[in-house]
Amino acid sequence: MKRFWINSAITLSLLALALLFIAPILLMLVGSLKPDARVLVEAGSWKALLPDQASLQNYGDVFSRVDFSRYMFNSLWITGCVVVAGLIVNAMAGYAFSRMQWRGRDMVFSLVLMILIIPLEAIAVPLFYQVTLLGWRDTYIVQIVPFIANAFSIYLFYTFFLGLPRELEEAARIDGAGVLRTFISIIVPNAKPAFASVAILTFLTQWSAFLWPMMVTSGEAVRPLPLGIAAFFTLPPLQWGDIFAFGVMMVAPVLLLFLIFQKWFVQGVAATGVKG
Amino acid sequence: MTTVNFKNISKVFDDGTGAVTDFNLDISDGELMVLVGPSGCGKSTLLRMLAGLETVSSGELLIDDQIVNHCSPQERNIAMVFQNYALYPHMTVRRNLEFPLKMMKLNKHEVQRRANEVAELLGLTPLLEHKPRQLSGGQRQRVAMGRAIVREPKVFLMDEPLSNLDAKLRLQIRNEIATLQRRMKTTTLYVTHDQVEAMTLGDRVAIINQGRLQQVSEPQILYERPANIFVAEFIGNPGMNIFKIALRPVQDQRLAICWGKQQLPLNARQTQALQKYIGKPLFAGLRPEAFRHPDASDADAKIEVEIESIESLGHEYLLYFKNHITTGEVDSLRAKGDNAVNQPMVARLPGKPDARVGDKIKLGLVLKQLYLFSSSEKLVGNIL
Repeated sequence: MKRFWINSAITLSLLALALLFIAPILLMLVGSLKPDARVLVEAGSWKALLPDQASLQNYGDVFSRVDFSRYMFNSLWITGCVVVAGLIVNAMAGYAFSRMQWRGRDMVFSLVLMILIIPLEAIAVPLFYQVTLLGWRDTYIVQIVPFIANAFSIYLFYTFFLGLPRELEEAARIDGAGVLRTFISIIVPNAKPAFASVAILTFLTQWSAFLWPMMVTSGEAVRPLPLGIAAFFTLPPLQWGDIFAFGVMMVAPVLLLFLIFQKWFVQGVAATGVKG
Repeated sequence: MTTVNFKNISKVFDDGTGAVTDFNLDISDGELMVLVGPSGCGKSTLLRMLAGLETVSSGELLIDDQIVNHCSPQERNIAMVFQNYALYPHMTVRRNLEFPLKMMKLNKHEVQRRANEVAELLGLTPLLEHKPRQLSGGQRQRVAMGRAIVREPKVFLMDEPLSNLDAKLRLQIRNEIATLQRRMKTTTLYVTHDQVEAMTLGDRVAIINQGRLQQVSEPQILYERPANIFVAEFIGNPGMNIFKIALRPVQDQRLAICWGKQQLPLNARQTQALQKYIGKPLFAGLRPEAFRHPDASDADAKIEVEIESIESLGHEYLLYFKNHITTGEVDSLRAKGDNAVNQPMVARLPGKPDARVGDKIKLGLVLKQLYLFSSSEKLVGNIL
């Protein structure tokens, strides 16, 4: 009997803790469905989590007040390009570092590892000057190119490829495949978990990019979602319901992506020994 | 017609480790040559050099009299079966078989025809749409073989292809490999650490130790005339018993072979032949099969031994007994150390054991099966 009470107490406290973490997300979801006037009024009470008189009004408002589809397209396009190009470039780099023999390989690889510890904020200003000189400001390209090659992604691929049995490549070479054919036909299909991990991690970083787009873009035409939501705070009247609705629509693609690739992602994280 | 020649091949790895030293071997057309030796002896390195997966440090490697030292694996027209099979896990059996053919840029019809043919030959037809992970060890092994033969290469390379199989399956696949190789008559280089596998499969067997060729010969000759102590101990299961002996003069200026408490007198001819070894260290070798029951008709000497252990194998048994030599003496002589000398000696006798551990019994010996090795461990001869 005593055991039962202890277990119940543990379960309840864990549930309370879980609620604490899920509350902001729930608040956003519920708030996005409520009439704007009630969002703030009920924010401090338990009513905040009850979707009373739910409607999609706020979602409609988002579309009428800002060009949401434009922001969404920009974000999808920029993130999509960075993810796809990043997978190709970083996978190839990781393969070259892990499996190919070339002069200076170890030195170059240690340089790549050093880049890992340099945050974007540290190089943002010189990078800004550089892209200005290239005349890239206010374009998609300025938000894509600097983020394709990524030290962390290279490192992830590197560790994953090291774990693949070398005999697979040797068998392919003896079977008559060249380096590129071996990479495409043998390595890539066996590295799905690594590709899924890198895709999701890149997507997450890029989807929430704020500082860099803020620096290098000025118009709505090429700005991504995080700048869109920021625009809402400065767009009178301040409508919390609309902001929440915007937030939900911004998070949805990420959740969808994660659900689709979840199996591979977990495998990839387990295989590469990376903790999220 | 495909021949393979290793000419003065040496391999030193980047870190300075020497794997193979001055290795010479000629493999004739259609021959199944087995490379055998203990782990780390350089046999796999030799195979990988022939495959083009390792560079050759010095010497010449020839396939069909063409030097291939600098050819890439795909230019050598060879096929290899790996120890862990290295099947492509994401491809079905059919795609695995077809992959090398596609790399040869054969037309689709030809690719399918040859893959089907090989699948039929190896009994893989019902498994064509399976992925490797759905197959048993033996089936995977067969797919790996199939992937090798489907290309009709000049040379087959096999790197311990049976070592991941259980004993029964190993026997079965070993037979299949032998049959297949005889049928296809493709020059084959087969690497193993298992001397039984080597002896049963090879047309000829090359024994390697510490990167050097010890002896290459037909299996029976390796057993009957081992070139040195290493080969004598390596071939045979269990291998030859080796022990240090001394030549001592007995009566009429004749010599006797002495070890421990044992003494075997020699006749005039034998004394003559061994004259030059007086005062020099000599080793004797006796195969476990050279021992007999003491009353056996062909036993021409007897020794008394104390039994250390007995292993019954059903139709025969192995009798381990103390080696009547002072191990300290041998250790100093053979500084590089060889466990076999300190190990008990072993006799292989037919039937059921009738003695117990600790018993002192007499054993018969067939003296003409006594081998003598010089201090450099080379065979002097079985001159008795």
